[in-house]
Amino acid sequence: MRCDTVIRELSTPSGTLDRAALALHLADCPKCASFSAQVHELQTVWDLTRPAEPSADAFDAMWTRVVIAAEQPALVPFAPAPRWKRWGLASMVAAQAAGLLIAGGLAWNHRTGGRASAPVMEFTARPGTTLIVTLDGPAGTVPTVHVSDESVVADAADTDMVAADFDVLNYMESL
Amino acid sequence: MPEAQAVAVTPNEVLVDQARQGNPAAREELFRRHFGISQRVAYRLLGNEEDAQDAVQDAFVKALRHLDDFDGRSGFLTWLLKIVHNAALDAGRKRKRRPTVRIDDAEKGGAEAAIHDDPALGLHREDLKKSLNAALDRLSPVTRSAFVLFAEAGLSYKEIAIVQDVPIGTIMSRIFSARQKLQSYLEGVDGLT
Repeated sequence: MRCDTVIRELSTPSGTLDRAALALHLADCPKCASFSAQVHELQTVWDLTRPAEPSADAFDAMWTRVVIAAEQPALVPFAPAPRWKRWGLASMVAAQAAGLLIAGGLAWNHRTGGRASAPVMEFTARPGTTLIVTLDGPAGTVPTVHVSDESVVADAADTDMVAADFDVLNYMESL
Repeated sequence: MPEAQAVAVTPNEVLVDQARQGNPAAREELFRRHFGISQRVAYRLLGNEEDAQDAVQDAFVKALRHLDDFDGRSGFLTWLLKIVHNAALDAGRKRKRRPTVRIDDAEKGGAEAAIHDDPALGLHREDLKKSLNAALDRLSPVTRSAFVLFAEAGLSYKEIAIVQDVPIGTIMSRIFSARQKLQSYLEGVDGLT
């Protein structure tokens, strides 16, 4: 029996593994035996920290509130304006903002004699991310890229990727 | 010799039918029956008893309003826990998970107090609660809830897949990942060995 099969069975029991063979493997393999002990410890902590069963009085008190609330008419969520109306408003605001920017830009250009300072763009990106930046400048412009090393390293816990072997199960389920 | 009394427990399906027909006693019994497990699941997801109570109350209001939508394709418990699960995740997003543990939790049950006071075990229940809550807090919400539905509610992988709307393999992967992480986070916690 392979160690990864044992670890997977201990983590996500399927009940299909031969118990005697599993016990034999655990007796011979310190790594799997240690993992099995950890599984048992987690179960112990889980059982010891299980919250007490709520009392009948607690249910009665809550149920009264639930019944009253359920009989009230449900709040209807605010209905958004139709799409054309929202886009119309957004377009108007965008057009006004663009007009102001152009006017401001022309005035600034006139004052500085057309010598605009070097544009600065700032990005926050996870390590490994590819950024594509389009530069619209005169020929020969060389961009300077400063990379801050204070970037946050993504925690693998949040990636929620499905392990390859379980992904096979998903594929089979989808057939 | 006295005869053993047979206690007839009305199946959930019958209670659901009666509740839909407007029987208030059936409605109450249906929800009373699943109150404890709903409360425990919400507590494990939120790490705070008061937040858990609020989430369960919100969920029960929604479930009561939409009882007619229950189509019986999954069990009533799965359907209800999906609503509780969503309410708890909403509450968690709004309030963030508060890692506070009420001191009076330990005074709620004689059996629990006995475990707590047992010097041979050397376990400090409140410390364990805090450690476990902190470890659960480090998991992503979907990973945490998959593990909670498995370990606390005892749902099958298929039932958890229904609750989370993902394939079974994804659920198994989440539980696998949650267990590995929880075990590593709890390694070295006093009272475990």
